[in-house]
Amino acid sequence: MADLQTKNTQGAGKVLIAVLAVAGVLVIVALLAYFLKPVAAPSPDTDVEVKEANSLILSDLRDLGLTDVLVDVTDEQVLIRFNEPQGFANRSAVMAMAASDAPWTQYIMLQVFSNYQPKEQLIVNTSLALEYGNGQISEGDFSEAWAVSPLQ
Amino acid sequence: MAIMVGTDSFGAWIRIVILVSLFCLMIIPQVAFAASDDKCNELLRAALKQLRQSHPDDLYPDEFKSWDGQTFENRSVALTPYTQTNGVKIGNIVIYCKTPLYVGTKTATGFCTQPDSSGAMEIAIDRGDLDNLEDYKAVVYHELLHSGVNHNPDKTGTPRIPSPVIDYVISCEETLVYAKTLILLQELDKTDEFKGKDLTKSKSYRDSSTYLETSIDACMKAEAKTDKELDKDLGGKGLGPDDKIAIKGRYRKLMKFFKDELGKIKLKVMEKKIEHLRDDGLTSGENKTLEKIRGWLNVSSGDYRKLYEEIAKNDTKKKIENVTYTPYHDVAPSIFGNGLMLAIALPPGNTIEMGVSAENDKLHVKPDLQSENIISLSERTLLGIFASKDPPTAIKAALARNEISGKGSAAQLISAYGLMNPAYTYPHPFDEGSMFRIGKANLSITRAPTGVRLVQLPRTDYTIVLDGYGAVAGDTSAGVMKLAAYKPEQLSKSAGIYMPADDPDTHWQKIESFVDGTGGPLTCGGSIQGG
Repeated sequence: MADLQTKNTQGAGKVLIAVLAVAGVLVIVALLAYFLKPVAAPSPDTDVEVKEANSLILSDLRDLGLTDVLVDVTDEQVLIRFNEPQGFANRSAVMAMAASDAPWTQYIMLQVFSNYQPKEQLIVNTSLALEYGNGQISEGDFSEAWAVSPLQ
Repeated sequence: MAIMVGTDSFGAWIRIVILVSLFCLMIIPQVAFAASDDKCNELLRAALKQLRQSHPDDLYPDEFKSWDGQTFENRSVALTPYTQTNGVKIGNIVIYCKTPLYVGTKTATGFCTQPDSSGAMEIAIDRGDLDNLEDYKAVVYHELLHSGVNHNPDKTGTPRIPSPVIDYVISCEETLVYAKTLILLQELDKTDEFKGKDLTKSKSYRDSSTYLETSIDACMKAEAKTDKELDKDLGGKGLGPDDKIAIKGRYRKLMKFFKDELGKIKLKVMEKKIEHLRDDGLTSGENKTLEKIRGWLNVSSGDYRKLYEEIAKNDTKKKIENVTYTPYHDVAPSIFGNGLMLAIALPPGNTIEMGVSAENDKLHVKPDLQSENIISLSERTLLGIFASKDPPTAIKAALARNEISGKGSAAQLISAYGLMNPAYTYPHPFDEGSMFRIGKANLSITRAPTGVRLVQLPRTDYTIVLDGYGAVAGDTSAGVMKLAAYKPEQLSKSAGIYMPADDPDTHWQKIESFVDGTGGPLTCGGSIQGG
């Protein structure tokens, strides 16, 4: 009985040693892989990537009289930063155009600058902006739905 | 979350307020919309009444006469001619269908009535404002084939009759063009008639493509119209700002539609070209291409990406076929001896394979040229090289990025070049800090927060954007860069901080005139140099 227990203990010890050995080899391989990475060719340079939706909205906004403007359309949002000319009163139109050009997004975010200083941020649901663009809701109702906050 | 925080009774009140608010939000637009529909239908009914004042029977093309009373795919047709108030007789066709496609308030291509109890509607097609029989046929064909489609479903899926003024803009033009395309495609299917002929010289093709190109141009101009001009175009109806925004949006969509149709025609012509190219059957590659094109032609109207890609590829080929290039001599010598000669061998997928050989000092591109020296590169790389002011250097940049690969003796050339000038030792020529020389001006390349290369022109706000080959990608301004500098971490890599250049050559002329001050050409032997 005692012999059997001793054998079992020895067997378990061997398994433990084998597991530790394998783990050790894996760690060494991982370390080697990390430190001895092949010298790769210089990664491709940051290239110019054109998003059609960005260009479309930029073009629309230029038509609205906004020249200093940048647009960043992603799967979720349309971000529009612009330096607001004096007397510009077409924020609703900006949102409607953005929604029309990127209807798959969830929200439109305007970041308004005055004399290139951050002024305020407006966020609205894209579907609401689409409804406004289609004439389904009034400008008053639309502007009430904007979430406005100062831009820090 | 706020609801859960309060007491039970407070939470209940909040819920009631929210529900009432939501109810109001749902109801208000519907009420406003219903009013718009009523006004629209009133106008339509009046127009239809006027259309049916008399019934002359001699105003129809023969092929339409037999249609009276017939049913086409659940759409019944009736010939109901009438006489206008000025005495001019007009042949009018009414199609009864379940859903309207277009609505108009002017005497043009489409009138429809409110659905009756069975849901059926009438679409009256009036020949009065159409210039010729071909247009008229086109509209009728189109309505017959497509009037079951509802382009403007509202959220409940029921037919929606949109603002008549706005839809007038789209209804006439879109119907006509779509139907014209249809007719053209039908004609092109008569293979015997066109066998062995260059379809691009056929009248149908010329008419349709010219019409589409004109329409695209008209849309571009219409989109650029002022509010006053829009008011005038639409009969002085005193449009509100919302209508004007919507109309411009429609023009943009319409323009896309025209471009799509043009793409379809071009593809169809290409398909026919391939079919008749050989009497002894098609090669497997041609068959593959043909299959692909056939598949594309059957795709739904919204899925045009592949069509665009194909058209773009053809444009690329066209550009390549027309190029005869003389590299600048006073920059780095060409990597393949004194010059380059490129030719398309095959366009498999998005990769172009070209024959490469050295000849004189010129870069000739001829589609029929056969060469044993084949290199592969993407269209984008190729266009980048062509658009660059310094093709040899641009080629080096592409090689350094492994964007050009080769086989045969071209591979040996590239391999030899790679051994001598591996990417590790050859500086990237268009990176930040590189000098950009135009005439006497030395301009430096900087990077925008998003990573694109910028060159600020002296004494102006004008900033050009370069791609990795030194070609002009677009332009922007110092003001936009100030905006981009604000929390750049919020911007994605592809943020639109510049307007892409449609024609890089035009931009170069602009840049040169800025720098030179005279507007004349510059003596810049290769305007880009490694830093």
